[in-house]
Amino acid sequence: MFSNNNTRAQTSTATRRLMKEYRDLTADPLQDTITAGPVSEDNMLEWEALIQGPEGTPYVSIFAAKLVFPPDYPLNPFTMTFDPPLLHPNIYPNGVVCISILHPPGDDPLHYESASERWSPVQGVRSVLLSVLSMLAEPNIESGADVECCKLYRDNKPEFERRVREQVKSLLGI
Amino acid sequence: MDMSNHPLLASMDEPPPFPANYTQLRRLDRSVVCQICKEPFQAPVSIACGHSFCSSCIRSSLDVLKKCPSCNEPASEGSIRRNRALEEITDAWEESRPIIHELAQPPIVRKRPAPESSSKPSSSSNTKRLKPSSREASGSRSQSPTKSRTSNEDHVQLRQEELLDDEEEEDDIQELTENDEAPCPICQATLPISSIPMHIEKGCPPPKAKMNGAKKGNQKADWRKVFSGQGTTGKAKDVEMKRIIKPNYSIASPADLRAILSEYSLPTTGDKAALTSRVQEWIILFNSNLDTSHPSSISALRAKLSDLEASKRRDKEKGKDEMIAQLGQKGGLQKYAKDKRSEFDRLRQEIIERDKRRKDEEEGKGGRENAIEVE
Repeated sequence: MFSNNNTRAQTSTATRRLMKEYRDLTADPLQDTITAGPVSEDNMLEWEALIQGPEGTPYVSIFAAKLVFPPDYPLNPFTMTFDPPLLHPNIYPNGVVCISILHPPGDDPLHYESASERWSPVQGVRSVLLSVLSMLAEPNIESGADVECCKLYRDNKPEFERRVREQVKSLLGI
Repeated sequence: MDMSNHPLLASMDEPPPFPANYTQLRRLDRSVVCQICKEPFQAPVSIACGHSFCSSCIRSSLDVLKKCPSCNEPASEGSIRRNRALEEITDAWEESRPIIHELAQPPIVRKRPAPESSSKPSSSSNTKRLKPSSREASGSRSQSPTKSRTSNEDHVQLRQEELLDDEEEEDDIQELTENDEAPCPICQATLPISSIPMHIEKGCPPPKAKMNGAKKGNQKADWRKVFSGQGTTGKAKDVEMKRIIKPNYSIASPADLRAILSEYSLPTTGDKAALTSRVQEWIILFNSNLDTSHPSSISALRAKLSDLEASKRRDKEKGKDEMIAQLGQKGGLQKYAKDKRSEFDRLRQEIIERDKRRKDEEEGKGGRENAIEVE
């Protein structure tokens, strides 16, 4: 019991928990469309994720995103930033993903989301990345991040899809 | 891409997962895990909605949000109850896991070592039998010298061969029961066979046989402390093993916080934020230590607290180092400048406005003084 306690204390709670999540992700990968892992060996608090856009969407490519974890993870959620940014109603122009599961705990003052869709310590990288995947497939324009993009998506979906395709092409360099 | 050999994973002191075909065992393995830290329950407790977590995990979580992390039902620290059955289940599972894990491995020749009737058992046969961790770590069956198969289709055949082997060797090999003792192949300490895999996984701590007695003694001593409210032996200052009541951090003065810390002989350095977080951490550590049947000593808790603080500091510094490294990279400075451009612009704007305001103020000083006088 004592030795167990000691090994646990050597690394911070956040680091240990992230190691655990990384291990589970490698042992039981998230479909074939997502991979994620720490950028460097000695800092578990920064990860990179590669996400393949879901089928039937204009996001036909593989996108890189940076996950940055707070030192008190999992009490507070991490942030996810697409780098380079992605044109999407729920992604800020600077690439930061805005979905309810990544919002800090507690009720939001505007009552846009019920607390059940919010971050809690039982959530993790796996559940968030799955939410992001479904967000790419179905944007939520009720609580958008990129207002212009929301309008475009609502009023002129073909044009929205065309622009996304264009962006994807330019990202790929074609 | 095979990431199972990643150095990060190798550095973890983690028992290996069960093979994928044993879904039931994987489920069982998951069910004794706290959903907050994703590790086997330590001092498990239940809250009003019926969900269970490690005592320290749910206490820190409730400090942030007074809701159950699993089902979002309102929850408070007052509803925390010790879950003794779950603790027993977790302990029992942790103890039997290495054994079951070994049984769940694809069959290999399992030779029982000769009984330990003679004073010195032949070390070769023992290592073969008693080295489950190294075999699990390598993940292959190549350690079996006579047969090395790679595909699972050979199971049946292997089993038959194994049976044959057993029959052949029955004459000179006697079965040992799990209660028999044998030396650990690594540190040579004599232990009951059933506990050796766990012993190795924990990195060969000194034999437990005596610890059981000692633990019991400790527990008794702790209880005596609880009931008598005083130290057991001639210790100068003993701490009362009573739940600490949380202070109201927003109105507590640094002196109040220091008083709590010095009561438990903890460092009282730092500003109010540092003191608050130390008191918070300590209360979580201390109170959750009362939710287990094998509590740590106060000095162990103190060590844990200082480890926690050190690891948090390390995490913070890591982030700093990284930023500095990024700035040092080619084009890093430009990138940083580009990233922070809006912030720089905002700050510049603020300074310009502030200067303008000051200038205005100076110019209009005389007029304003008059205005005040009028009032």
